[in-house]
Amino acid sequence: MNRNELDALAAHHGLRVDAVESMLAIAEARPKPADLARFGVRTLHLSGVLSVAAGVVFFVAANWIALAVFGRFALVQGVIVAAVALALWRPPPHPVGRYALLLAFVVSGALFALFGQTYQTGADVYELFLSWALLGSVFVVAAHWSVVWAAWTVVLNVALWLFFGARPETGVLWLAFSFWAQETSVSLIVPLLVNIGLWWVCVRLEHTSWASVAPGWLSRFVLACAVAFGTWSGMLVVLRQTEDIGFLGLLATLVVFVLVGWHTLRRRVDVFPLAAIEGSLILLSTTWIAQSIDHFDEVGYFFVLAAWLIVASTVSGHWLMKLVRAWDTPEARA
Amino acid sequence: MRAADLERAMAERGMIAADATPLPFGSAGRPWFVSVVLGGAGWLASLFAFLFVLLLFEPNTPGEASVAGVILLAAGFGLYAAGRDSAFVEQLALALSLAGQFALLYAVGDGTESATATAACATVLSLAVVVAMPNGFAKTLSAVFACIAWSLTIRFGFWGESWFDDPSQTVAFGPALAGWLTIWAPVAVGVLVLVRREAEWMATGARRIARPALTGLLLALALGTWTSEPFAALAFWTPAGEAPTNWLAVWPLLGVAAALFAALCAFRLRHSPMIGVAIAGALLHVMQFYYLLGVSLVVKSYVMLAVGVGLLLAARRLRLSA
Repeated sequence: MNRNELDALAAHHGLRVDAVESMLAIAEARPKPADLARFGVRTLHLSGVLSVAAGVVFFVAANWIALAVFGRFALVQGVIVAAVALALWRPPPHPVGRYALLLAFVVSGALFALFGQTYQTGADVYELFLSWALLGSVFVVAAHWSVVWAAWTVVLNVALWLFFGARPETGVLWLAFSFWAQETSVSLIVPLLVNIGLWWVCVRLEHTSWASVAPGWLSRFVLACAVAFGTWSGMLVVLRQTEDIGFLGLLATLVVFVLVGWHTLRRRVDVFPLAAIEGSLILLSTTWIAQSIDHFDEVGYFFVLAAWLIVASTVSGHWLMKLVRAWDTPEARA
Repeated sequence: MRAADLERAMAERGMIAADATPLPFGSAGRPWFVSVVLGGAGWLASLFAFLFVLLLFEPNTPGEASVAGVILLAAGFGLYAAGRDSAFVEQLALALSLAGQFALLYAVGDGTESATATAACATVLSLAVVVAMPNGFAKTLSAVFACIAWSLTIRFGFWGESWFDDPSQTVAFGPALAGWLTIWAPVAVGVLVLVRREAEWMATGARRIARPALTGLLLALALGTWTSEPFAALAFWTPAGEAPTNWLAVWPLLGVAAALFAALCAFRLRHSPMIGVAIAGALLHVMQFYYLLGVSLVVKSYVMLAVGVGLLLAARRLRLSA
């Protein structure tokens, strides 16, 4: 039960302070001191490890001239070796092993950056992130932990954004994709599909022994990335910044949205995918209307846009809440 | 546990009558993602509504803009009060009340030509909305806006009205720390008091203000330092020459601490989405710390390493004592 429901209960039955205290205790709405301490320790561990990792990344980025090249590599590789040694000493699912592999994964990115910085490899930034995602996946698989998988998906999505969105137009990979990716709206279909694939894997893993590695929040995160790439692609078409086959970006996005929506409506578990799609469609439709009525006088123009947003969001919100109430699952309400 | 199960358990303990009317179905409120969709659309609609009013009535003086603002705000208030169960009326009220606030702040900005005064007025206005507006979602949004406006008021008041990170600015560590604490310590204390006295206000009508205010304050703690100066984290360019030392650059690091505090409070409230927001906020603050000028990257890396080791030692100590 969430706090809104507990507030409503307290108000509905006119509970006094001691009764509210008892209600909170019965509903286990407050963690026990031991749970709180455990959460505190976990939070401190995670922030400590990430702070150390950030310290190493900042140090590499600072390009400090007082430390020679050998020293820099020794430092970064030393951290990775120490982290791997810790993970071997206390392998996952032991927390030491998990945190050590998280550190190793983040610092491996700093190592690739240091390599590029020192030897001026000419590699584009997307190559750094892609190498990081590919080679660092060893640590990710070994960690068997959703937090490290989340870090990996962030790195992968940055690589996808840099390659398919920012379009560096350099490197061997670009040569391979250039025939397909002449229009940004079309090339963005790839990161859309990659994230949809990851979402599909997360959904399929829900009832397996890997469920803890792909929890609901991670599946929502990758789906949100997919919807963001799809919206970007569709937006380019709506804004008429594409030519020839550029419309395929919008078409593919809409097809993917329909399939995800159909799957979600069939499962009747989590409303989040539909909310993400609704948000994207409101944005795309508002942009389309703004483009279509640009000959209106300004007063009418802003009135139509405001009215459309209010109506579209009302209808969406009404429908989503209807599903939340009808499905009534913990995922739908969270 | 569902509401019906809880009511049954409460009836067994004699806390409520056995034949008490059960809580109506659907009292759980909106999930956070539905609120994000509605809030985002409502906010955008309010911008368009504000521009519509501005172009239609063409207010030439701050007084005329104020009148438009007050009318829009009053219309929003009236709609919220009258149409509590209508999603359409609620969205319309949100757009009108936000447009009214935009118009009032436009009037203040136009009249005073001071970003500090405008930010201070935005703080007061948002606090008034938190207390008076008869809608939880509007109260939550206003609590967040109040904290951001308060942050900008102190920032502009003490160190000038620069919107972006000013590379020539020099601020010593003491004033920078004092400034951040002036902004965020009252917010953190407010959160702590509300969390500790939750049962007391849940038992009174104060819950209608306290619950959305608490949600807004937690959001502000998690994201506030970053949101009150988001563009500084996008300073991918660097000015020529050595930038002078400016300890305002340490604010994002303090923002990380605030976000972690918000995560802990959210855990006490069993508010999982808020824990996620707080973690995302902490990471955004680290990114902002990386980009802010004023302290060299080498010093920042030492700071991060020292903080990391300190946190790991604190975790060990807490684990042993628990």
